[in-house]
Order: sequence, then C-alpha cells, then structure tokens
Amino acid sequence: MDYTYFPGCSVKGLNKSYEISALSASKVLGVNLLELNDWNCCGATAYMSIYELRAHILAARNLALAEKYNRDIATICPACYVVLDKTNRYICENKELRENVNAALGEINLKYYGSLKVRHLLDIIVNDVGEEAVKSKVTAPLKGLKVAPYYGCQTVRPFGAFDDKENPQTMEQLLRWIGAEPVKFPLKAKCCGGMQRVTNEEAALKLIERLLKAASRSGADCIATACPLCQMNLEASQDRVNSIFGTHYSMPTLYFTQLLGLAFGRPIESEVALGQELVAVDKIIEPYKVSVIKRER
Amino acid sequence: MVDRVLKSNTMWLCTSCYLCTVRCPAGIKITDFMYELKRLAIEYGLGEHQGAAILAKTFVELVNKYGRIPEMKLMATYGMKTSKTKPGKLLSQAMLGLKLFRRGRLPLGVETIKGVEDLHKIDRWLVSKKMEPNLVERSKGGEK
Repeated sequence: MDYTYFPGCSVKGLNKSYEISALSASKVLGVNLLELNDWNCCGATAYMSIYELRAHILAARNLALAEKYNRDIATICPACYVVLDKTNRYICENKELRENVNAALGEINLKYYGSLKVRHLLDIIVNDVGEEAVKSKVTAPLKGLKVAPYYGCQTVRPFGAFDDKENPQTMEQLLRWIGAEPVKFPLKAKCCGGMQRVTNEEAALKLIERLLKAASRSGADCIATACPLCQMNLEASQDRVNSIFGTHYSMPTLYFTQLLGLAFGRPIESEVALGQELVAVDKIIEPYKVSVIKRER
Repeated sequence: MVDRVLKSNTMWLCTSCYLCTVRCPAGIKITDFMYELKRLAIEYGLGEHQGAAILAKTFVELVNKYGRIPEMKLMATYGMKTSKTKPGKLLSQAMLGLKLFRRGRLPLGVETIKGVEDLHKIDRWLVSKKMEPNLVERSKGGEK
C-alpha cells in the first residue's frame, strides 16, 4: 500500500519521535509512506489568521506537487491533516477559489485538479490495513496497559472523515487490537489549548489540567495521542500545572504509533523512539520490554 | 461597533478546535468566521497587541523565509517580540527549551526548501493582482 507522505514541520523538529515511530509501525504493516519532495509548511492555524487566499495557495502547492503520483496523501500531524483536507475540499466546492488558487499556482507552473484524498495515518491503519493484519504483527501484546485515548480536536473535526466528530472510536479499536486496554476518557476529543499555551498560558493550562485530571481519574497508565501539539502540551506542561494547581501529575504521554511499535516488538530507542520523554515511561513499558528481549533470544 | 468587535480578544482565543462548527444547528462555519475576524483586525491595525496575532505574524514571516517552520526559532522570535509586555514569557520558554535540550529533543539547524523562491513569486503575483488585502497593505510599507 503506497501513500504520499506529508510529514509537517513539527515532526521534523521537536517531535521526531512521532515520525520515527510512525514510519517504523507503518513499515511493519506494509504501509509505504513515500515522502513528498520539497513539501512546504501547510500553514497551520497561523497563516489563515493573516492571509486567506495565500494560506490556501500554500496548502495547494503541496496538493499540486502530490497529484502527479495519484496516491492518497498520508499525514500524521492533525493540524497538517485538517489544513490540507480543508483546502482540498474548499477548492473542489468553490469554483472562484479554485480558479484563483490555480491562477497563482500557474505562476510556478503548477495546477491542482482536485483528484486527491487527504488521510490521517490512524484512519489508514484502522481502515486500510485492518484488524487481522494489525493483530498478526503483534508479538508483545500490551496486556494490562491502561491507555487514555486522546484524539485532540483536528483528528476528527471539522469533517469527521473517518470517525465520529465528538465521540470517536478508532483509536480504542486499534488499542484493543494490540492488547492494550483503552479506558473511558470522555474528554478524548476536547482541546488541549493548542498554541494558546504560548500566547495565553493561563487559558491553556486550565484545559491541560482538565485533561490530566480526567486521564488520572480514569485509571490510565498513560495517554496516547495522535498529535504533536497535544503531546507537547500535555507532557511538557505537567510541571507548570503541578506548581500552579498544586497537583502531582506524572502522566506519560506517548504517540499511538509508539504503542504500536512496542506491541510489534520493535527496538525501543531506534524505532519506538522512546528515551526523549519529559515524563518517565520506564515503569509502564518495563513489562513489555522484557517480552521483547525474550523474543529476540 | 466595528472597533469593539475587532479590538476584542475573542477570536484570538480561538484554537480552531472546530467544536462550535460541528455543533452549530444552522451549519455556520464559526471557526472560519473567527479567522475572518482575525484577518480584519490585522487589516484595520486593531490586533497588534494580541499575543496570538504576534505569533501568527512571526509564523508567516518564517514560512515566507524558509518554506517551513523552525519551531525553536518561532518560539525564540516570539519571546523576543513580546519580552517588553510579557517579560516572564521569554524565561519560561527558555526553561522549557533547556529541558527539551537535555532530553535530546531540540532540533539543530534550519532547513530551507528549494521552492521558497516559488512562494515569493506567488506573493509578488498576489500583490500585483491586489488579491490579498493584508499582503498588499504590507507591501506598501506599513499597516493601516
């Protein structure tokens, strides 16, 4: 299964562990992620706040570059996913926008015909790869590991292309396939504060604290996320939250792809990309690490 | 009235979580509406003091320069720009940077894409066609 892979800036920067573990898990599952050559920033939420047409053109340059391969675009960052998907849909729905975007792209000899689908890796693994194939690759089932499945906002909103917009189930399904136990986590698709952690920390920390509280109360050993910004906000803010709210959170926050790698028995550092956490994960991964070593012997 | 709306911080607190958009019984794309308010506030020069506006502008400048976002540079530049009004911000960002550095998570260097000149070409075209109000305003050498 071939896909044109759009990584996004964040997973090439502060959140490399997401990309490393995503590429590794995909390879195990026969999902071929072929990186788009010379891709540019999708624009995220910031670009659209200043320029509208220019933001669509920025996203559309990537779509136009990808179109010659005629494969679905695979993203792992939900912000990239939504921005590319939104421009893709708006271009198809709105003739005037399509003409303006293509007139601009024409200046650099590109044109977008609107033939692509933008996907998230979670969707690809659950719906294209499927239960049987995922289960067949599990060598170290994550038995007894309680996970709070955290989708964040943009994995499912606004379009809800592959799951419910407010009560998604895909990640729970996947977690069960690899032997883990998803806990009931009602805030699973609520906001972590996004970039407000930088521009309005007070507002963001309230949201982050709410999520950490819900995850702790649910009895989860860790949170699984599908978003680099959520990962950073939930993990890196725990010190700040603890000092402001007088709490004692120490909640490991991993990418869902890292849990896949663990269950597939991949090398802990080079492929599961564990070892750069700000909240220690040793305790929760220890039982599964052992079974990995046993298997290798 | 326009002043009251465009000077407010409502739209700058919007994180694009799209919950309002999916819940609106009338199908109004409220998140898109918030984006429009942000752009209008910038166009009228009424959003300058908002942290989220400063961050968004910094983001745009870096994308235009490199074609991608060097995250640490974004944080550092934002910290410098707001250091007078929010002096604690720079320090807390630096502390987080240090923690990430210790864990080996800080990326080194800044990559520039080959297509960055193409992006500039598109900008020049947009200005010549007057198709992007904020961009045209900026190219005149100042905000309204």
